Amino acid sequence: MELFKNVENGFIEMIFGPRWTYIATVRTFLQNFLSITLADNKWADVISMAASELLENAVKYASDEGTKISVEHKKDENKLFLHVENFSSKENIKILLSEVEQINSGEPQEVYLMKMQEAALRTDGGSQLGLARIRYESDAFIKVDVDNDLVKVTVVFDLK
Amino acid sequence: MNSFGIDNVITEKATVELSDISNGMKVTFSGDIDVQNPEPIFVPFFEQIHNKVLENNIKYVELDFSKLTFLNSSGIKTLIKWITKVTPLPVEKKYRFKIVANSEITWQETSLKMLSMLAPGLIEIQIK
Ligand SMILES: Nc1ncnc2c1ncn2[C@@H]1O[C@H](COP(=O)(O)OP(=O)(O)O)[C@@H](O)[C@H]1O
Ligand SMILES: [Mg+2]
Repeated sequence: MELFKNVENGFIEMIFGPRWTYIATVRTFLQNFLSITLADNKWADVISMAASELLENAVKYASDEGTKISVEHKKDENKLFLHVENFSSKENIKILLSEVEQINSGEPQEVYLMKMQEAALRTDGGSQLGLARIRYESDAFIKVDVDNDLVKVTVVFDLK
Repeated sequence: MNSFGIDNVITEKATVELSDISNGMKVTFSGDIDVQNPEPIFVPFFEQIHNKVLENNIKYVELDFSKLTFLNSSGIKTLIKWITKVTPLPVEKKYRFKIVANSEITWQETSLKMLSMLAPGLIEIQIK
């Protein structure tokens, strides 16, 4: 048995099936937990919103069982890393990569406004708003790693 | 009940109520809007309100979000759909919105401010 004595960096990891009902539970947990860990309550709200949007995607676009969320607070850098992983189809992974590229390439507010204008015209279920919303509301950087059909979306919050 | 005869929306985690106020209509949101597909629930409701507002020549609609604790991006999309129905209307048909936000709920100020940017001059925001 082993217990870390190093409490420099906080870490949370949860793994579950791609089921919608888990999302609100995880969001509420993170909001409560982070409001204790982080001095500023605003971050707990923003990070739990982002986690909720990412988990919605992980569930909606899952091609197989397995959803993983991890939260890593690097205290020395004063950054928080939020990762969400799932399996998905080639088509969705392609869309995700181009969405993230578009979102990171523009000014967050302009991109979000443009996405909102586009969303008004969409008749399918999707909104294409979630990722742009995260970027706008948190000013965080979004990154995607792909390994075959496994996708990892990372959002880096600069807590300064 | 409201004078439009439109039923309120009551879901497991959220309630959206329509009521009459002296200078127009008021929609009060409470709870969490976090279902996978909010469109079939909210789009027809907002459409009914929009049609009745036009029919009755009402010029003011208040959207009170101060008791809404969560709204996902698909929920935001349903509001965008409503607001962008008003922007292309001729001046004499247009009506104004007032959005009431709660400063203690972090996402409200940022997300709701963006809604007002969709329809410049048509939406006023009150943060309390
Ligand atoms: N975790 C994910 N796995 C696979 N594809 C994804 C994932 N997240 C997002 N996507 C793709 O990126 C698009 C944009 O996501 P988002 O901005 O959240 O909009 P929405 O959820 O309304 O579709 C999605 O429509 C989907 O095609
Ligand atoms: Mg989404």
